[in-house]
Amino acid sequence: MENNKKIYKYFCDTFLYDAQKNHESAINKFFKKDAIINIVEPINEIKGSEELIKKFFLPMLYAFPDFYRRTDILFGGIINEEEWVTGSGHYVGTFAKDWMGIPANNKLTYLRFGEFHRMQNGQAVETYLFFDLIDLLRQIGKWPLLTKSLGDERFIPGPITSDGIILEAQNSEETKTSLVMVEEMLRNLHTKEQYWRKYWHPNMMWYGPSGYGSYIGVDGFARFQLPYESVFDPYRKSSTTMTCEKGSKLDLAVKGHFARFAEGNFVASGGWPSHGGHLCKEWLGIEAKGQQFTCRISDWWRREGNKLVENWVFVDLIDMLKQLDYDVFKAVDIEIFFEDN
Amino acid sequence: MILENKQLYKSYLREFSYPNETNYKNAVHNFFSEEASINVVHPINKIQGSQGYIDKVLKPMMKAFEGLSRSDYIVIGGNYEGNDWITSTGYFAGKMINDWLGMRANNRLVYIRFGEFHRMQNNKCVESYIFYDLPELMMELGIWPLSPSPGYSGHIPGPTTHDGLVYGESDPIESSKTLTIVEKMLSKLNTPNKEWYPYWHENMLWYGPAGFGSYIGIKNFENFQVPFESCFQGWTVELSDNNTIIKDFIRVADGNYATNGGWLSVNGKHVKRFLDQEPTNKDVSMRVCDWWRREGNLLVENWVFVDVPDLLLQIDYDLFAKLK
Repeated sequence: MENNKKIYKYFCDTFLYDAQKNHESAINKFFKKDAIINIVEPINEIKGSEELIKKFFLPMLYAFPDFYRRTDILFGGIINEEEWVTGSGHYVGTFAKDWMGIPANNKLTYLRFGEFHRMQNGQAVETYLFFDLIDLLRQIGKWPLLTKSLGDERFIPGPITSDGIILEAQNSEETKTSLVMVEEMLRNLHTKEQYWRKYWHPNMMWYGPSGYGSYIGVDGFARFQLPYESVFDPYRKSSTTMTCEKGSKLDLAVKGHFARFAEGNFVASGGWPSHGGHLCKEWLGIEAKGQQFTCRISDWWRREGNKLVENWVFVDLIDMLKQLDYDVFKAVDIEIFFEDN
Repeated sequence: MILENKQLYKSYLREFSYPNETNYKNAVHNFFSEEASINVVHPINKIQGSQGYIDKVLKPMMKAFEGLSRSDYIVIGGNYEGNDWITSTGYFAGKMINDWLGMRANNRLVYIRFGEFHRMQNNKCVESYIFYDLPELMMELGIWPLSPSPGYSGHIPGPTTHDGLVYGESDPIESSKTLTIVEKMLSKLNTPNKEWYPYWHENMLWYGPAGFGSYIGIKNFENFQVPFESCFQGWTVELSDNNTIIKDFIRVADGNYATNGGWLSVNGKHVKRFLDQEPTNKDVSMRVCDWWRREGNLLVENWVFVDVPDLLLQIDYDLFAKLK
């Protein structure tokens, strides 16, 4: 486990300062040749390290020539005998040239990322990469949604305590406490009595994806969570509940979480997609017509004592909105294309 | 002394992670002397003693920002010309529920960037310089009345390496190496052949105050810095005005980190359009401070404050009056 983290940390650090020079060897070393790499919409699936370089990193490094990686959270865990590492933070660079058709603004720009890698023999064999492309569009002045953000749109900082890079082995009791607390809290979402509230510090921070925004305080978070809980018709599926029929279209579409583990005070979870339902109430300006939708999601939590205090969240809203017949890029006249290499 | 001061500061900061009426007031009275001379950016300016700091700064802040919490991402200390200092930078976060300093509350989560310097004597703080990036807050609230920054404006993250909380003892050799590089670099600013270049990593990050913006890469930084300097003729750091030498109050290093602060430091005559203001030919002096992070032989990150509202006031633009 500690070895996986070392390998991952080394990979992350290659993208400090000298990404242009070192990325290719670092990617080839870190990813298995035939790794299955899942990236948020519009990229989706990539097969192996070669394609990852060609289709993803080369165009990105061309667009952001002084590209630099800031990792705020890094840790690992084992679930169902699978070894995972995870990280979250920002890429930063001058957005100097258009990227996948997204127009450059020639300013320093932050691209928020979150990632999970399943490790085997010191290499990533299965990967999930989240990027907040709506946040990128926001920074270049192209807000693509029909509605204003529900929360506060801003840069999302790393842990308040600056202790999110966990390289040392952690106390297993602490790790267990964190995981149990998050799982209990998740089971109490979507409850009429809002039992989830007691797991959170009253001043907690919820750092959501662009479109949903960030919130301070349990009541702040409730401002997002309660309306969100009301947009699903009675049939929904998540990692903790299933009210749709077994074998139904929705059941088959929601794969559940691919990983959920803790280390010390931190917990990570990701699902591709993690939950879904049918839209029964207007959401993000989209008219409800019972459309089925699923959400690719990832979360990191930080616990302090007996409360959860920070929660970083990604939702692939572009993918979700696509299922609701709304094209985020078209909305701001961007035609996504991938260059042939 | 430095280690002891760091521990005092650490316990002070702990009470601000989730402050309430009782704990923050006790913490302030424990940390600040009753007569401390506390200097805060415009429009707060000069304050006397721990009680003054509570009444004039913290109470109004607590009232304006619900759930206010404080997070520091750099804490370092050192001795400068016989004085012990402790300094830190980071953000306050809270839900703005009441107006503050003439800024209308938006009922939203907002952040306030701060930088603080405290001179310690007999376990008490006797002199402070406190910076807030109020223009950054104005931009977040959508009430900034001037043109947007030429660079990125918004939240400024902490050190990429997350090792800015230096509560322990640093290797004096490393500290001295950092200080030397910073001093050499500063002495070469505003030289014709860009002699400050070799002290920086090519991909350095310059986190400037709102109004100036943030830049990545030395060329992008130069593209901002050189025109900025040219707005103020006779650009000098720490030099005489009417034969009075205004010295920076601090310049120390602690491990890979260094800091510098001047309360009236950068001087020059306003001869070119700056922040939408036509040249006034007035002599200005800026309240500025910096933290740097060194990696190997190069500076890689630089966090900067300039009291922009105070600077604007010197060239006849009253930012706070424009908010009304």
